[in-house]
Amino acid sequence: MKILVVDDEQDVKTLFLQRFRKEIKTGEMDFDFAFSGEEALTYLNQNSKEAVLILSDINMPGMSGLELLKHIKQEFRKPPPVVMMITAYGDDENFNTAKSLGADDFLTKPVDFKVLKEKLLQK
Amino acid sequence: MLLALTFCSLFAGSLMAQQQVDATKQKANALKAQLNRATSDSSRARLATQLSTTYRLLIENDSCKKYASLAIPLTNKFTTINNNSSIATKHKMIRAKAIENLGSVLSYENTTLGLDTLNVALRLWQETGNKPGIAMAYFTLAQGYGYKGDNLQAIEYFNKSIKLFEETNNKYDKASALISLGLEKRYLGNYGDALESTLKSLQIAKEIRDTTLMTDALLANGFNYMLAKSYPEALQDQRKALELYKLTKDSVGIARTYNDMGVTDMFANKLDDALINYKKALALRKKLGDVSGIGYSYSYISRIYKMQGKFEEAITNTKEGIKYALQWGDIRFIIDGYLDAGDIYLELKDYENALTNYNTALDIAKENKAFNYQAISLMQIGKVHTNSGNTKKALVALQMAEQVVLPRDYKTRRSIYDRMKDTYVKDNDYENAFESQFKFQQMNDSVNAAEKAEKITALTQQVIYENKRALQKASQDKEIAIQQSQIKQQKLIRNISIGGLLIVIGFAFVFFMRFKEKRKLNVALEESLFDLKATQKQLIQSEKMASLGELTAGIAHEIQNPLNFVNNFSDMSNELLDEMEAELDKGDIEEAKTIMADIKQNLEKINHHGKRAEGIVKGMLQHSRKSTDEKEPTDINVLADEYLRLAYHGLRAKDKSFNATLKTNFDETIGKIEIVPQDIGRVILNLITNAFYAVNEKKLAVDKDLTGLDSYQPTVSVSTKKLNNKVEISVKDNGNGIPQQVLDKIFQPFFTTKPTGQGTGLGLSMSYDIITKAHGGELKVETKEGEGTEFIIRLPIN
Repeated sequence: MKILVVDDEQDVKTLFLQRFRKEIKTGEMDFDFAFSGEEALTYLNQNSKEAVLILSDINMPGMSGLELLKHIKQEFRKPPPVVMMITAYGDDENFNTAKSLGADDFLTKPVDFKVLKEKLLQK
Repeated sequence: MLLALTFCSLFAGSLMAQQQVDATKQKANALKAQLNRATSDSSRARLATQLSTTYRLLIENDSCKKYASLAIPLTNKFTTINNNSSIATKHKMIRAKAIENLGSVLSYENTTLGLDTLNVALRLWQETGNKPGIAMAYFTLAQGYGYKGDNLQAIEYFNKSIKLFEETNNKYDKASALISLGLEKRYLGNYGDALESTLKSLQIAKEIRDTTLMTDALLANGFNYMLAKSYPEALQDQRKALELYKLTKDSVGIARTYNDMGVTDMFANKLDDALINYKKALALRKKLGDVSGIGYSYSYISRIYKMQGKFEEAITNTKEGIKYALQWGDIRFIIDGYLDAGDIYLELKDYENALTNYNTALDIAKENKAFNYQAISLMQIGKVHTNSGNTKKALVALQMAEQVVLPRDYKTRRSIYDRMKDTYVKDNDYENAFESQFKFQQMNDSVNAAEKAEKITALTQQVIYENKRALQKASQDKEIAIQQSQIKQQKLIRNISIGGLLIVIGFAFVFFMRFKEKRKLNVALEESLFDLKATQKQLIQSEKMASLGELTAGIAHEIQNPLNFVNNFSDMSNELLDEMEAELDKGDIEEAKTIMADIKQNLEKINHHGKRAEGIVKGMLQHSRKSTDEKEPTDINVLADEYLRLAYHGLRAKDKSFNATLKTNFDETIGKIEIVPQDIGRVILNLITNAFYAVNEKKLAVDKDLTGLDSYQPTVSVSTKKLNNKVEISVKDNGNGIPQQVLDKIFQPFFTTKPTGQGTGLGLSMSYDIITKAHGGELKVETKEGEGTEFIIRLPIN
């Protein structure tokens, strides 16, 4: 399974590669990283044929996670990829907006990696 | 006011016994003779420095300054050449001491220049590596921050000096630093911590059998007990101090202790005992010829008589007090005396004499441009007229009081309106009574708002301080962890201090709650302290802290990210260590080494994110710095640019998705102009923050339905321009503009359009004062509803 992680914090990459060390080793999961919404869109355009699961932060400079979500779900190919949103604010407004824009799941920071792993394996 | 003055005298710190003073003076004379004979620059520098140190001990500030200023240029040539030789180091130490002495006097007189000087001295001492010198430099700096009223910095430097005094086994100075530390803690309302500190110093003083220290510590202890309302314990320590002073035949000390005991009795409401103690102090002070001390004693005694309702005795003592106050020459003390006398005559219904005394107070206040005292005197004159049934005259006096009182002296204004209301009612003029009642309510709100802001300030500072400590400790722990992993290479890293971090933050919280409790208990005491502070300064600081408070939510969120990384990477490292152990058991050294590299990288990341959080907290502390009020040549373009970025990042910290176009257009021909940079910076910051707020409001409204995302581009422009003999700074936004009906209110204090609790309503009114009053400039606003707002500052050059 190919997973694209979108977050403006560079160290998220190091963290995911360690947290999913075993899954990457066995080939169960494969990660790619984008550090902004714009970068994520470029990536998706270039790899349009691959089935990808997207894990995106909401609060990012430039294009926000919600804008990215809107682009993916409303303007992208069909069927659109699965998108899970992550945010530091566990507020209803973000949750509802994300849901209405078609987010498939919603996680709050700090991310519980056990829960995330289970969710990823279910998709 | 009386109480406040008392605290000053009691907190004055250690006093030298007379014999010691004489010996020190002799030493100074001997040094002077040697200095006159000395010919080489090197020995003249050394002797002048020693002289300045001696005068510093004697608290003869002018002489201390004179000899330090003589010594400093003499050391110049020795310290610039041949940096490593022991001679150069010796001269550097002499230079450091001279600068430290100069700084200690300057920080007493003018705190900011003094602190800068002391920091130079500290750096020099650090270069010499001389621990006793560094310790004393920390100690002096701490005192400097203490004079400035920056208790938290003072505490930090006292702690640093205590640590070094301990390392160099300097018990005497460690004990005095502990007493001072206790004092700072006491100012913050932490009587428990203050007591702990003074108890430690008492123990050391006993150990080294130093009676001066012992008495200082005992009296400090006594005061702490008194403030904590443990009166018997307070008296016990004061009695012990008294015994010691009697043994050493130190009359100044004995008088001081009797006075302290009197204060304790007064707080404990044992008025007869208080009177006995005050009278003992008075008798001794008369023998010593201590003019200010005698004056204080009389006013204390009069106060007790007044509390007992013995007005005849009270007036006799007040009159004596005034005599000595006049001799001593302190204006506040003199006016207080006349006001006290007036109050007592008023109680006696002797209106004629009451008026005479109040009028004298008024005249002196006028001569010295003491507006607050003028208002109070006029208010009391009004009271005399009201009580004698002449409401018309009373109203005239109250109206005059209203005219002289400073606009920002809300407390006095509140009392004036309160009295006016009552007087109008007596005069059956209900319309005016109602208006006064309304104004009273307004002032009441202002006072409450100011007090609330002040309380938040103190609490916020305390939390910031504790959090900074916690983070510092976390990043230190991590550095140690990295070193250890390099040495032992395996199975070392356990419990990477996340627990510690959480516990420390937990402590900070407990501390915060305790602090809150203590403040509640001491409201009565606090109120009298509040009176002391000039209202204007208080408000400036409140507004600054309030804007900091607004940023706090954003900053807390910003700290959350690095903390998540710290948690995750330390967690991961633990797991990786288990894996590494398994690989080692299997004998796969290569794989174990790869894992080890990952662990090392994680530790570096933990360190990096710990420091990142620390940086955020440091930024907050810088914003809360106090202003120096001194004009200096400043590049307005650099200043505007700096604050533009500060405001932008401040808002981004709160809301990362917020984006705005920043436009700048700086006139490079302006050059430097004379302004108070922190104050003008604050005005610019305030205007820019408002501009960002306006464009963000508009963007949020447009964004409500996600369809309009690209249609509105929030833009804030800052530009400068040189006019004939003026400089113009403009801050412009394309927000919603200011509606006409609120436009004429925006510069009024406490007016805000932000939701309750979000704005103090002081930002623009203070900006207006800074620009027009302190800098003689103009602050104008141009706005169009729906299109945006432009604020224009015009400052005169020169």
